[in-house]
Amino acid sequence: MDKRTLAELERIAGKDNLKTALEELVCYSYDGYLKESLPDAVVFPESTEQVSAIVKLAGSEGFFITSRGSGSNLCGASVPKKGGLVLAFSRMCRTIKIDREERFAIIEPGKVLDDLELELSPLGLSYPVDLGSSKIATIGGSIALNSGGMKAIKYGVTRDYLLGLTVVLADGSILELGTKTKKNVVGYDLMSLFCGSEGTLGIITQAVVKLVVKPKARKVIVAHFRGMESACAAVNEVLASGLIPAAIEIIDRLVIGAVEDYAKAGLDKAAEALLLIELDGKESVVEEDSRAMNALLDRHGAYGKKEAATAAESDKLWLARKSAFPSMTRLKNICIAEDITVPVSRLYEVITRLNELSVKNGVLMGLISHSGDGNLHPHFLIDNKEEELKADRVLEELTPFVISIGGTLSGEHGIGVSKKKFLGFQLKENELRIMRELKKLYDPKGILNPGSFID
Amino acid sequence: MADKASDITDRCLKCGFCVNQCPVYRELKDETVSPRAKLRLIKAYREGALKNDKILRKVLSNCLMCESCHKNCPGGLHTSDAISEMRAEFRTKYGLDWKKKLLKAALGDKRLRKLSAYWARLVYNNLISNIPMPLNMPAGALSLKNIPRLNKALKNMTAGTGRTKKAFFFAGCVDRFMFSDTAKAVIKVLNAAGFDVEISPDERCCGMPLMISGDSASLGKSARINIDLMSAKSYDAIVSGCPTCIVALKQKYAGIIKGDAEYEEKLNKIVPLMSDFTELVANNLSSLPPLKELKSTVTYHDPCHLINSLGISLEPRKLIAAAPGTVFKELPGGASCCGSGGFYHVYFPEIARKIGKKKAENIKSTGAGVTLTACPACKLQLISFTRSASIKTEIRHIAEFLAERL
Repeated sequence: MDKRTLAELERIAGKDNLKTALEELVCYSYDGYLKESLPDAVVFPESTEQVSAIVKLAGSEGFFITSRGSGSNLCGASVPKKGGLVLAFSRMCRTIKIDREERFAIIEPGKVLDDLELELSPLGLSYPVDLGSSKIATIGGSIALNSGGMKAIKYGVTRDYLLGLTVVLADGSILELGTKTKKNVVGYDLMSLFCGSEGTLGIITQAVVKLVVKPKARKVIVAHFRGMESACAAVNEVLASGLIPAAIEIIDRLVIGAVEDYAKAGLDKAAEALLLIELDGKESVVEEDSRAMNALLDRHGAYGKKEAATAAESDKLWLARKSAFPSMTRLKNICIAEDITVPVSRLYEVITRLNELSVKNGVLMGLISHSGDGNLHPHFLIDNKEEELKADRVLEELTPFVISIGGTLSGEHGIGVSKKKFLGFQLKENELRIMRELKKLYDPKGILNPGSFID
Repeated sequence: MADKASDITDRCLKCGFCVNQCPVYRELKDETVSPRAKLRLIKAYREGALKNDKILRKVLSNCLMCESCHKNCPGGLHTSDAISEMRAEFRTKYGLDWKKKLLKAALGDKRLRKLSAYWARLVYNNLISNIPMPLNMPAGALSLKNIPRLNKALKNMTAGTGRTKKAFFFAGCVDRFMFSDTAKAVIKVLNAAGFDVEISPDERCCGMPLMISGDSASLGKSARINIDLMSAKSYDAIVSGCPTCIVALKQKYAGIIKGDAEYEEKLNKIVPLMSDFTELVANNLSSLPPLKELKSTVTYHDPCHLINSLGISLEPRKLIAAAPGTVFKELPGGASCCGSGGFYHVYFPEIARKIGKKKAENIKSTGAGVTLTACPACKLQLISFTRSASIKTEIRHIAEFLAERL
């Protein structure tokens, strides 16, 4: 980037909002994935208008733009793969409005999910998309990746909560999308297209999200199992029984050991698997569901069951679950968190194959799963980047089977650079062609998040 | 395990769980100052990927050493140790600046420490606090007029005889020389809980202020003196009202005397006896006589080294709950640093002031008449910032709160 361009960026965003020192650039070269790439500059925009002006400048000067929330995604979506400018939204994080009557919030993209929840909770409201990384993940990033998380089984995913988006398009124009109504069928659903587009079609600068009334009661139950098969069978029976837990998570033995060392939540490290279940809703309903749930778990041979007696105990159990990915560094230096998702009835079959393939390829694997929606997170543990190939081979061998049973490469982490090489397994040529054409339509010069899953 | 603290840079998965929990990041919202980035930059420096160390030195100094990154790291990484180690490397290369040199001179020597405290008290209590100050004369992030009057140094070195248990009270610089009211309260409560208390006149600074400046190397002598003092007799407990001192003694001394078999043996014997005041008293709560009922609305600020390094958060709350007539209000904003961070506020007054201001606003929102904490540095910071914001709340150490009810 030449001096004139940098001076113009400084004029638009302000001196303190432009970073160009090598040390600063290093800090914006990564996210939660392995690959890193240096940007040429970093700007912290503070308004939609600033973003618009910057994108116009990118168009005329020909530099690339990669948007970044907190850089906690696991697929390299916010790594500036071809250099250029990182637009870091951490300083654009205001809550514009919380509407209690209509139950929605207008927020800027840099808002961290846990911070939003802290604001909503005293008002008796909640944004129920609960990510493992809610401590750091931003609303902008989770819209760009259509994040799902722990409670998708009951509450759905990010896309289900979007009422409106403000998007800066690649020509710098500002697009306002959405209505304040639950129903809206006027024209194509462009808003949904931006959700999950990984910053390749436009830059989200404001969002209107639906809120729910915070459930009056919640109960967190942990149940240990001597075999993965019985844990998966229990999950399937829960779903067939009509019980709808807010979350039903599987953690396998390897991961239990690591998270228990950190969270000290009283998990049994000898268990082959555990289920972490949350029931929420009206107090009487939660009580009734919990009786049915306990009986069901017993039938499947659960042992060491524990119900959190206090909110603090519930939080501790969730802390254990949410710590899964980062706690992996207790075992090996590098962890690749994968994201295949399958029909729930096939869970055990796929987990068995995953284990077999991991053993065959000589890579250590620990597993967690948002089992209620079939979302599997195998965590491949490796010592160095070269060993990445072993994890790749497992996926190469497993993916055709996953696709053949109606599953997907990625349920929620996104493609970014991490799964780009597997894209052809799932998307057919005509599907890919339409996507490429859409990309060309929205971003003819290819300045938005280049090097990502679609070029 | 890695030999060097900074080797943990290879183990960081860059999940970012530490980032938004870092008080400095929360103010600046720039990844560069986050714990995750500090580890990444140390790695870059070690690999020779940075042209020089100028910016890195500045980034690494911009850390409160509050250890909230450690508390929030499911991998259990000690980021602040990696930062301290790099600071030590830079100290060897560039030496200390004048502020740190002054600190080292004042804290490193027994007599000078006493003398400095004496002059500070004399000058401050007799001159500064009595002169009407229209301007907010800054002292780091604090303003001079909002610093409380300093107490006289603690005189009596033993308290009580004939009790079944004996405690060594590591008073620490601030409680011994400036906030001796806190030290007196600690002694009173420990006596009531069944401990005879001894303080050594030869106690040296625990060394933490120099350690976090990267000057562990010069602490060998004073650490050994302190270890000898605590090993001189058979104590049932070694306790301090300053969590930072306990962290130094309990967690950091091992690194300082590493390789010295004689002192390693001595230290291993006494480490299990060490506890923070709130921990020791909470564990001996049944020995305390019933506390007097006094009506008050109370909130509590978690000192960083107590909650993040020692993992103690329930014990102080247990003590507060034991006082009849108390209405307890949790402080909004969670266990976030008050912004003091040792001498952080002297180097980064603007950021520290913002952090302190937020803390003061949170205190105000509780409406608590009494704000408790368990650390002398937090106490000083909280007094200054609540005064600046004209918030009517009395800032006290839990020891004083309990002593008043005996």
